[in-house]
Amino acid sequence: MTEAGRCRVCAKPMPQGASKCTVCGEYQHWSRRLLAGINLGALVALVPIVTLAYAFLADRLGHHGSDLRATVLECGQDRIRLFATNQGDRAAVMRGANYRISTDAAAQARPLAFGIGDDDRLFEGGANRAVVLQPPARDGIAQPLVPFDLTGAGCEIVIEIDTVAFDHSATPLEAACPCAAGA
Amino acid sequence: MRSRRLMKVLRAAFLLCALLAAAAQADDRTEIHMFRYAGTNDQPAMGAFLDFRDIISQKLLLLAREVTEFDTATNRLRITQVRDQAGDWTAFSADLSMLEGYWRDHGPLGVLLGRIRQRSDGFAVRSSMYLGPLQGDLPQAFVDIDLPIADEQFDTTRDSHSVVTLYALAIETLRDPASAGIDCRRRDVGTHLLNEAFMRAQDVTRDLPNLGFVQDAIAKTLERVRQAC
Repeated sequence: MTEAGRCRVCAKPMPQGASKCTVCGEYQHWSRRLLAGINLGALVALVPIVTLAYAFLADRLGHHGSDLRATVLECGQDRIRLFATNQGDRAAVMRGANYRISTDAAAQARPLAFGIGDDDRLFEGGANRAVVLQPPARDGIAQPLVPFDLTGAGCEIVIEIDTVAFDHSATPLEAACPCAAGA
Repeated sequence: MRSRRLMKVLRAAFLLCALLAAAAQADDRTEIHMFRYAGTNDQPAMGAFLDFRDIISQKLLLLAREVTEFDTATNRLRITQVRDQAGDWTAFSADLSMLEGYWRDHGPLGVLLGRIRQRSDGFAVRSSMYLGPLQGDLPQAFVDIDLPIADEQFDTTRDSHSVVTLYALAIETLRDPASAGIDCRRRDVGTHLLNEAFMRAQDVTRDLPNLGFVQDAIAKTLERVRQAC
């Protein structure tokens, strides 16, 4: 409401307390004037453009990568069972694995073979699955993870998995577990 | 120059000590590892072989009960099937020299391989038990032993398989891994086990005189222990 009974936009005389000018048709309160000026159709048309722009910018500016993690489920006498998850949004692959035994004074790295298919070694972003690792068989016989003379109290197995991220950078993954009882 | 050499010697000594300590920590050998025997391709033979496995398992349980007062490690006596990577019970298909590495890495008391054959009165097995360094005073690391697969075999440890197992257990008890000689600290337990093996060997040799060499080896080891300790 104007004090002098004049329009705030065109300054023409108008009735005291009127919310809209009788001459130029503009609202007298600023908030109503603003709302009246918005073209709703244009706003709706803007939504997909803004969405696309956001997706494009988020893709360009956001962080992307693979984040492969593993938890040991079981260290048995002749195999290790892991649960692996790729918490990133890009694929990663397990290239190879080996392990060391804490009671081995020479700290020799021993190879591990994958008990899963090659395709299962590839983890897409968000993928997860169980992985079996075994010492390579000799003469058709499963080999023990820990040779008998290295068994005993305090024996621990440290597993190192060589993973390759989507950008081909190598990332080592480490997990540990106590040697199996009687291993 | 001298200090560098001294460091090398000290490092080598440390490694040696660590290895010996690791060896000393290793568990006792209490498992008999069994390959799938030859001649088990048809159903009846395989059935008989599974009976044989159960007989040996039962014998080890009995043996543990009979001698556990001397050696608590016998509580852990058991049969383990040798498996391939898929987990299937595997037959022995390598050369015998591979058994040395197998015995070292897998830690069995003895390794059983052999064949099953059909006789007029049923099935019987011919086992070759590989003892590796636990052969003691036996002429070879392999001992060939026979066993009929029969019900009465479940309830007795007076048979060749039990005798050889007991002898290997005694040698494992007495063996000093560092010197490859006799560890006199465990003389009493070892002598008890040898005496138990000798008593059973006497019974077995009465029926199977060709196993006299096992009895002789036990007697010879008993004498060696007496002299050494």
